[in-house]
Amino acid sequence: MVLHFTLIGVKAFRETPMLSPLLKEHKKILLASEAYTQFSVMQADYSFFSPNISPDYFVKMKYQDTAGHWADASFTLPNKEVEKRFHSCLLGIQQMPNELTDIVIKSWAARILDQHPDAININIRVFASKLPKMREFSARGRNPQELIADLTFHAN
Amino acid sequence: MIRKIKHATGTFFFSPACSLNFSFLRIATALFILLQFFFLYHSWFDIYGEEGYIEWFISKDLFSISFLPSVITVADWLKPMHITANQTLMLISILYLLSAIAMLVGWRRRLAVAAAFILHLTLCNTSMIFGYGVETFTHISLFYLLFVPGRASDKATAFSNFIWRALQLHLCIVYLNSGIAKIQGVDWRVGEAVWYTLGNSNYGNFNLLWLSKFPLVLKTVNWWVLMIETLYPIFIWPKMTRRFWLFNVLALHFFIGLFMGLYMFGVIMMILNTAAFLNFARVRAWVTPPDPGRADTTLHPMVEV
Repeated sequence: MVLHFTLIGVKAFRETPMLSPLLKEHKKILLASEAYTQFSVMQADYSFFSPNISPDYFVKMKYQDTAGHWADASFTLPNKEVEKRFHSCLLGIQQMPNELTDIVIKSWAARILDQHPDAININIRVFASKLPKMREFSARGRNPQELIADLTFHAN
Repeated sequence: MIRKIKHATGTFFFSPACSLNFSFLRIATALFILLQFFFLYHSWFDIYGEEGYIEWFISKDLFSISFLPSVITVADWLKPMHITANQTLMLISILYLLSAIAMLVGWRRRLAVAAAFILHLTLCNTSMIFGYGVETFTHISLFYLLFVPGRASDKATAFSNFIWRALQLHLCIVYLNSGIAKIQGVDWRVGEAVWYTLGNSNYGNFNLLWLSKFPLVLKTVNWWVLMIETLYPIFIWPKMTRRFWLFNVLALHFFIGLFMGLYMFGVIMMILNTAAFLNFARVRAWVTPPDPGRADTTLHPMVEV
């Protein structure tokens, strides 16, 4: 049990000022902790909604057909549980380098093309929006959405 | 002094305890897995399939953990037998559901839990990026059930108590980690975090933006969350504060489900907290008075709620 909780504790508290410098010097401990916790308890990072709250992320997908009309091509997310998972994915890819985010977005475009073979252009945009503080919101409302990715693919 | 500490530690970890709590955990986790499948089955292949929202050739390199099993690796093994990727996913999914059903009815409990544990890991590692806290805590539940799958008629054993303590200590680490991580964020320190969460259209179930006119309400909730989580490892143990703290943490997860739409997360956390800190032996004794002629298999007094 001591080893079990030591490895879990290392993973859970690795960013704390006390442990972080020590783990940088002894990377093998962190690796062992990572491997063990991934297998046994599926990661031991319980810092949900922390340290700060992420912005809202929105994805807008549309395709242009041969007649030149743009139509919505957003994925159908049948219920809240599936929405939460897709949102987890959006949060995850925001933490990746841009070139890797682009790979994921390209795969979405490929999926849209599969669903709409008549598409000649596919556009995917990702927006972020964070509420202002309560006092500021009462005074001026929401912050405008920020466009953080805008990719258009031309289907040949 | 040392002898007293040694004795207390021995009693704490190794007093015989029945596995009623694990029986509850096993049945509740099995029902949870089946409920989760009910919500996800429409999108099962979109989340886990080869040509899902994120295709396997991307997941494999970017998100899956190489030393853990995944549907992708199993599909590679089965390909020479002309079993397609979708068939592999179907096979693993059916086995996963069957193991949950076996857990539920108590058939070959340890084998059922072991199968559910491995298959859950296999599925989650296929689509790690679509996972969130629900997967983590389902896996924690399955991990501890590996050691004590639980049956109501099991005799009280020291091992049962030992694993029960491990589950309790794990939850203490969870909440302490969560609380400390939150305190490090300025959103939580100034009391705006709950506001941002409830106003987030990806989470907020209701339009509560009007609460911006009453900032003290949400700030109070914010600091309540911090207090409940960070002080959980201290106040969940003493008999005087345990019920209050357990009630508050169950309420926290209930409201997370209700107001943030994180229903499944709320449920699995309530299951784990109930299994860890509710005295089922006492509940059973209240429902079914013990047979005076039968040996006492209830929990040791020290571990009672």
